Amino acid sequence: MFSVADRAARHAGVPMAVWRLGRALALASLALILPLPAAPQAEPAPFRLPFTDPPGPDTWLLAQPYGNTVFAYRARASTYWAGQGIHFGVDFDAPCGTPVVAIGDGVVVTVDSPYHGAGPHNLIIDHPNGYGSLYGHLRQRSSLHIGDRVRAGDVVGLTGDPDLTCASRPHLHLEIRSAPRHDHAYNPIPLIQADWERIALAGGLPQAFQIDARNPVQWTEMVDQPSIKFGETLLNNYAQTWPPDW
Amino acid sequence: MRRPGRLTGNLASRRTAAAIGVIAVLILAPFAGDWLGSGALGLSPPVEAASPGFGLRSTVVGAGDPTPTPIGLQGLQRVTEPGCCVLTGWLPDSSAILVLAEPKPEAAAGLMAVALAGGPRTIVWERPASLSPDGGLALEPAGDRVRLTRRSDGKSWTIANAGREPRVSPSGTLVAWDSVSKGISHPDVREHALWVAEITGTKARKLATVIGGGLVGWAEGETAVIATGRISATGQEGIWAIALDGSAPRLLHQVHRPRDPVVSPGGGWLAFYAAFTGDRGQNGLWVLRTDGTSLSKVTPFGAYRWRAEGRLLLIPMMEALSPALFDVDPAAGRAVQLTDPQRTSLPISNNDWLVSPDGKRVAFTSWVDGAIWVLALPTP
Repeated sequence: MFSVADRAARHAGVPMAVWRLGRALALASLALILPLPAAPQAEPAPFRLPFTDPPGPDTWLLAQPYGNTVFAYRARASTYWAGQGIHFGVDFDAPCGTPVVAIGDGVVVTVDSPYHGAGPHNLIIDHPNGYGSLYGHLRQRSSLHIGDRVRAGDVVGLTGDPDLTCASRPHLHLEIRSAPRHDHAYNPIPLIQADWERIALAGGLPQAFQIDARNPVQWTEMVDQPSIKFGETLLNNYAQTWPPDW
Repeated sequence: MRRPGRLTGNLASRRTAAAIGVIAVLILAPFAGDWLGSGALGLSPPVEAASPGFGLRSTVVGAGDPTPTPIGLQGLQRVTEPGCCVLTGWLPDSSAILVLAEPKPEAAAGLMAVALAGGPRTIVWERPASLSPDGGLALEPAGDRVRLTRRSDGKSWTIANAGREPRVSPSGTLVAWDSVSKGISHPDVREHALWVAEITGTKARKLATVIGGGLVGWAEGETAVIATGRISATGQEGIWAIALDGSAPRLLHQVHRPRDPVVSPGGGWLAFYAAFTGDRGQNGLWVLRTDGTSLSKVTPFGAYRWRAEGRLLLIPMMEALSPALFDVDPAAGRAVQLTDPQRTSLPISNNDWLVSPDGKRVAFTSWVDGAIWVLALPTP
């Protein structure tokens, strides 16, 4: 029940910190009333990860989550301007040539679209639940064609490198967009069934998000990131922020 | 193995999933020993680290000033209300965590201390800032300079450091930074000029230029800084000690693109990892003495932070169990499990966890409730 309420609160513009606090108080009250916690009713996420192997230093690692990342903030007026200043996908580091699989059943709707970035090659699959998935920085043009049907887990391409070197920064850029217009992007993390916090437990540094000094807890968790509409104004043009661009 | 519903949705779903996770842990616990024994360091079986129960469920959720749960058998202490603030560090004496928070409604966030002993938050700095290792200086950006302010008397000065992050030495007498070449996007050919100066900004001098990589931190004794990359365009790539006396840079370890290099608090050790090198023997977590005398691979791979000189904390990135914390002593080739996932939950959000300067506690933001928690570390 809380997932629906969460969405409603977010759409109503309730600050997530306030909402979370209120919800926590409500949960605490319920805990006092109920002798035992209610049976969990986990909300299934509709999609799967775009790789078949588990994460690790030989296979793939989470490089940059979706959202108001420090990296995206610093490039908000350039690389990420079209996405309202945030990183509008999830980046997975992986060796060049790693098979990428469809995150859900669907139909191929674009191959190597020049309008959606994430070159040198990209692919979009529309899913029956109203989402589209974009697979970017693929190594070569996908062998799939517009209209092809794919199943979750089917190989749809190979990871590549935006610098075309296969050495500098090979990674998969995965977006989840609205379908069929593809004009909104959503945080893939709540939509993909995976142990995301465990996936993030790699390396010596945190997944860092940019902080608005006027609202310091907004958009600082991987799951709590805003949806965007392409071409709209920046969401993160902060007057005072942390960390600095140094 | 994927766990349906785990960490896949909003916070309510995650809370539900946490309950499932506890059940899964109970089921899978008998298999833990087999997995734990597979590490190169021979990780020990779980120890009795905390009281029974899922720690995060046994506390009162409230608002206002922090109401700490006393450190005791449980080992976990919630030190902030949910969604209050952003964890940024520790006070040097380990008595309080540092957070970015609004001191009052409608005010911009500043740097505040939340004492583990409880009580109201106190303002450390009225604006977002970082502190020097001894806490005596507040460091803030000032265009292409950095402003340093002595907290004891308010004396302030700036250093022309190209607006880059200043790395104050452990003694607080020196500062280093790297200045990055403009217009080069390829990370392997970007140039980083390494600079050092007195803490007052005097005697600034360029030590070297590294290609790719960059400045990591101070080596033990403050006679050198540690950097990664290449010294020349076609030279060897790896981890370097760059001496302050102008002598030739010394290659400590040749490695392609070391990731997340982190120097220990005293500068004697460096942890980093390698990935996707094409050689599975090279991929993974490594610890290196910064005098170049020893190099050890730590398995399994995961998230790491330094606890003290030569003592690394590790949370393995494994599938079957809830996160457990290990204390790794690379010199002795030994790892000891500090927490039992059956008894102590570590719902760390964003891989964001910080070890106290005295090495006795870990602070993290919980993905379960959005509050900041502190775990008292058992002594191995």
